[in-house]
Amino acid sequence: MRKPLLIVLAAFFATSIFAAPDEDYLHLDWDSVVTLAPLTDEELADNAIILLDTRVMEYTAEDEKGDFYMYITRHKRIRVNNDNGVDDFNKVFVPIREDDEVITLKARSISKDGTVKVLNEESIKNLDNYEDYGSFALFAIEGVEKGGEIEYIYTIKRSAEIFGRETYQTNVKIKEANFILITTDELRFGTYGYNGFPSGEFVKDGERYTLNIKVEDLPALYEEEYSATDACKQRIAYKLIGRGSSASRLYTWNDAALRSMSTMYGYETGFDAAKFMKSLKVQKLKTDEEKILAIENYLKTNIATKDESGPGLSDPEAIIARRYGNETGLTRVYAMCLTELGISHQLVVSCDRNDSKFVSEFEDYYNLEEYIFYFPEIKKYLSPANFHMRLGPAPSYLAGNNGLFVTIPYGFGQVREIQPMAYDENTVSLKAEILFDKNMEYVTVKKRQSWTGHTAYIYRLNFEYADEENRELFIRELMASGLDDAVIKSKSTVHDDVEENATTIPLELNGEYTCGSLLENAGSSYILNVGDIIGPQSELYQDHERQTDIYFPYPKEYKHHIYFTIPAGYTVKGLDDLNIAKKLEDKDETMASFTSTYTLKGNVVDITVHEFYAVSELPKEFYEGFRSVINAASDFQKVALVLEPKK
Amino acid sequence: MIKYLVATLLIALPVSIWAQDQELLTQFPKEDVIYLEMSEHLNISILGDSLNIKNMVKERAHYLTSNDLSLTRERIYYTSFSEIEELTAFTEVPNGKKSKRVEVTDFQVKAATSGGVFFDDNKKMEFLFPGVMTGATTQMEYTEHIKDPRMLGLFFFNYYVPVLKAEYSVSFPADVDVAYVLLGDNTDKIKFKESKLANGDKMYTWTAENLPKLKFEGNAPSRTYFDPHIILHITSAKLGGKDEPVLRNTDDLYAWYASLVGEINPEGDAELKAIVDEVVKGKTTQREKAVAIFKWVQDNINYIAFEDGMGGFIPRNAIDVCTKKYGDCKDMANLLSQMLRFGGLEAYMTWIGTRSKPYTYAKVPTPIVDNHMITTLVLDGDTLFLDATGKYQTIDLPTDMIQGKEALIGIDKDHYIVKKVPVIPMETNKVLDSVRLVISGSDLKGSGKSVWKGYPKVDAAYGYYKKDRSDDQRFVTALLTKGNNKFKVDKYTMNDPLNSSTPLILEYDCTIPDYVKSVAGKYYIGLNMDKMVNTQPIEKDKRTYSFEFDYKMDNNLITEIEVPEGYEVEYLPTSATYSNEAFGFTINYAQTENTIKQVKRVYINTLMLEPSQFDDWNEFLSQLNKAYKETLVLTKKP
Repeated sequence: MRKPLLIVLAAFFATSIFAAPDEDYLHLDWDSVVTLAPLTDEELADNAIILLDTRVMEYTAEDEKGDFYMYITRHKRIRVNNDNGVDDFNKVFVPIREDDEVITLKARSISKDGTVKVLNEESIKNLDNYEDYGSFALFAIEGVEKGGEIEYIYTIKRSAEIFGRETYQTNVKIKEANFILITTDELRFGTYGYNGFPSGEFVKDGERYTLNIKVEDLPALYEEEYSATDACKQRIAYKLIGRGSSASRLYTWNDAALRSMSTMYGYETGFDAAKFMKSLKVQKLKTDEEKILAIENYLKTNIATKDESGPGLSDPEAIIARRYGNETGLTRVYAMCLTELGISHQLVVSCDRNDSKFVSEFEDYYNLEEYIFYFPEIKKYLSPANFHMRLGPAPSYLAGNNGLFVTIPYGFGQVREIQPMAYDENTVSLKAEILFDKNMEYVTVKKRQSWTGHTAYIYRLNFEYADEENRELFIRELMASGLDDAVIKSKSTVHDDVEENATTIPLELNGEYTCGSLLENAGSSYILNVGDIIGPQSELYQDHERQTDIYFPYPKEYKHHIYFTIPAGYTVKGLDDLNIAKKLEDKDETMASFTSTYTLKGNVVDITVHEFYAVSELPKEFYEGFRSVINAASDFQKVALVLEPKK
Repeated sequence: MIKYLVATLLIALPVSIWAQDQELLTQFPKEDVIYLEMSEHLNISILGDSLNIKNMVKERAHYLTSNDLSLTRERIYYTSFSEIEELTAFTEVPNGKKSKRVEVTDFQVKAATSGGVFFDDNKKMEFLFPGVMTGATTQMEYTEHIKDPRMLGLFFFNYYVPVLKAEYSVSFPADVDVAYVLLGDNTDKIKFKESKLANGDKMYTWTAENLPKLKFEGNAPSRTYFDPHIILHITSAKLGGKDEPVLRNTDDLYAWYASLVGEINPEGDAELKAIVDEVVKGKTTQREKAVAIFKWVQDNINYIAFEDGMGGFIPRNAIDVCTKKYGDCKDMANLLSQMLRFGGLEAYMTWIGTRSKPYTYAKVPTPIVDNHMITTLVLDGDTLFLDATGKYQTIDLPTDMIQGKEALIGIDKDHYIVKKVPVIPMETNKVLDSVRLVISGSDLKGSGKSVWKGYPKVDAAYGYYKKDRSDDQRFVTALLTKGNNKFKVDKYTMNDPLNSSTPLILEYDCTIPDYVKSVAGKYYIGLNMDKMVNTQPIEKDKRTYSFEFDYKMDNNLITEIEVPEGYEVEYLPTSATYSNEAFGFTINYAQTENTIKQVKRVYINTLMLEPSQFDDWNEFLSQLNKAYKETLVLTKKP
């Protein structure tokens, strides 16, 4: 969803009346005398170093019409140390919006020996309407060489924006980052620094208020396993909070709540919810849940979604008639149906926790990205965007983040957590019996696997929409992952319809395969690679200091039960390796755990594995403990048993 | 099973279903969408003194279910060499016994940058068919005005969904001559008809019916290898009373290519010559000079692709590329050729199609035949194919994507040679890793040496280039991993992976934690610590297409295990081998004093595994899997 709320707000704003024109803005320029910046040995070993990243947002009222503008300036200078660095930085994309005016745009390269090559203006190309990203000015910097520098600077004049977000941290270190926001008393801004970036303070200088933040040596942030890297990047958000002498804060959560409600519930359309639901025979259904599901099933199987904006795409009437629409339009359809049915519900607006934390203390409207509904009486959510989900939990990428809960029809807003599912609602279960071939050439594995919660939702989607070939591949991956030589003998799925996602009934996969590599030859003995039955497990390393908090897609639980009868004439050795126990605890709470045990009764070996992750996020201080639990599963996978002939 | 499926589908559908749909559902019980018709008609006429070419495109799709609506989003791609005219599109939405026509009104023109290209001027017209539901039919028609008579494109008879009828036709006046070639599998099923139109024009029509949807299979070559398609070209035309050749044969194609490159490099020669003199300073042999110049271009010119009108065909001036320090394949080929010539070497601009283009210049004398440019160097009587877009190639190693392909070598304005790029033998692409390990508790510890040559070396160099941290540990670990995912490199030395003039050589100490199974006075050690190939057999009844490899390979791993003091060998696995011309392996075990030595080699000596070889391939894997089950057992001496 492309920030529909912001678009609406911008429209409101454009009609306001502003101060007198002011053509001054901060002119930044590059140094006329060029010398390469000195770097440490460590910095020289990196692919590239961003020497300077300065961004200026300067607000000023300009023309007689009272329209209000801002000058956006960016000045960036980068040292490129190797081919990869050159490749990453020698191409520049400058996003240009409709009605933007490019005031300056220049770029140059500085070679190792100090030769400067300034970009030829003719080399700047324009890319119009590139996918849904808008338009760009793009160019390749000329004369770039390893060990040299790249520098560019541009200023764009744009209709004033009331909200903004600037992300600084990347996978390249920044020696100096500057964020400068210049405004007047007519437009007072608030700022919020995420993940340790300073929020800064405004200083008054005559008529102007200037906020100037300088950060030195902002470290590179690398991709890590189990991490929401983007959400962890240092960045700053800014927004208009006040005008002139008025003390009232602008763009509060309550304002957002009212505007969200108005966007979804106040849209003028010829759509007749009652008639629509009559065609689906919704009113004849008994419970609210049945009614919601009937609407949801219809919309999610009959309407194509298009991730674009446009009048026809967000109008419920057009959507139902043409069978396609965008998420905003579909959300409106639900909103109008729920209102018509009189079902008590709330509208929730939030953002993907992979991209951003939703903080309550700063009204960052950029975090108002995705709409879902909440039904407080049955404690269930509905997500218009996720066509594989049904009334039940919130999408996992929103759950655990805060959301703005809007009471309907009053429009009160409250920020609180979107409740994630409990780990025991997201289960992966496996029951496997191992049977030995009489010549001990291979084993047969009879498997019964089942899934609930988010895993089941996604798998059901795969089962429903994959073509036959991909479905087969997917089943093979679920049954015999990592076992190249496994031959699937039978398979069947139960409760694999996407509509089952409205239930807590597990998705099941039952089947049987034979596999030679699980049973290896060791002279007169055999090795049973019993751990491989659970499939490949990842091993987490700690070769760098952990930078980001631990992110888990959703709390999850695994329960495995593997058993076999020892073949006649053999004894089994090495069983004690099956006893593994690792836990991550804080105070009295177990946050993650892996336990595997076995019993030997007569000639039957019975192995149980219980693994769970009770939370979906953990502070990075817990990484070592978390790693030991993840690696315990990897250790289990390596367990092999020896079958020795009886003496 | 099919009967049952059809029955349930029929019950689920409304009673107003058309007879046609019932038939289609029986024919395609598993499909969501089919194409009723897919056709192109190429109309060639003469307007004044020039050719006027219009390609009329029509597609009709029918929705048997509403499960998959992805095709409702239509995109028409076009370049600066064509224009889209007279576009109409609509949906016939079922409405009781009849249908209601809903027109598409919202067409959007967007930039269509393709993967790997920084900037191109290609565009796409995008729109969505409205109201698509079960039983709906969508139709799109437009005319593509083709501005260059050499760029007629190609027509595939099949599509992502089954096609009931696919038709390609061309009409042309007596003053125009055309030629064509039908390619891919099952072209004998395409019916050809020649007819005469009322205006005297000749018309050729190719029709195919009931074409199954195209299949995607992992590691299959490009669809141009097997999907039926036609490439048509205008050979000549009588314009203004004169016979004008267009594309009769390779001579014409080359004459056109030569005219495009003929005008470049008019200035800056002195400057470039000075750079070349500097680069070859101190180099005495022709070979040394060639190596130095090639390396200079690889090191200094960054690959950035622009596809900007004729700029997609005409290389930029050598000196411009040299000062801007970036270019695409033809820019780099031009600069390299020029620099080599200034260095006193024999070098030529060369056109080539990568392995995704299974065409020859003789059969397909149109720009469709190729998609790449390189430099040919004649050195000491050998013809070498230098691809400067390959940052880490040597002068003897063309990029793997052009192996075995025809190169069109431009000698001068009027002369060219067509010559094949060699397929690099597997011995050149050898990896040899030898490691000696001792048992330490449940771990194996030891040291080894690993040498990478040819394409595996080039791949390693790219891996090294792409890493995002300044330390090399992860890169080295990934290259050497054996045993299990706890494998650790404790210490290593490595030469510069980016230096293309030497093999990659790694000497290392390593630990494989928890690898030794120790039970009741015995050690169990599986010596097959690296599988070297995916050993999952090819499912013969499911796979249709050949299996393509990037290059031939020869992987070798020598593993030595020291038998600890007080232990003896209880079970030494038996040696095994499978070998044929195209692929094979050997695993040999030997015991000398206190050492067990396993010598393992897996080779693939072909670029393409044909379906006729699948049985042998599976046998090879089956034997390899069997060999991989063997475990060494050491036991305490009595």
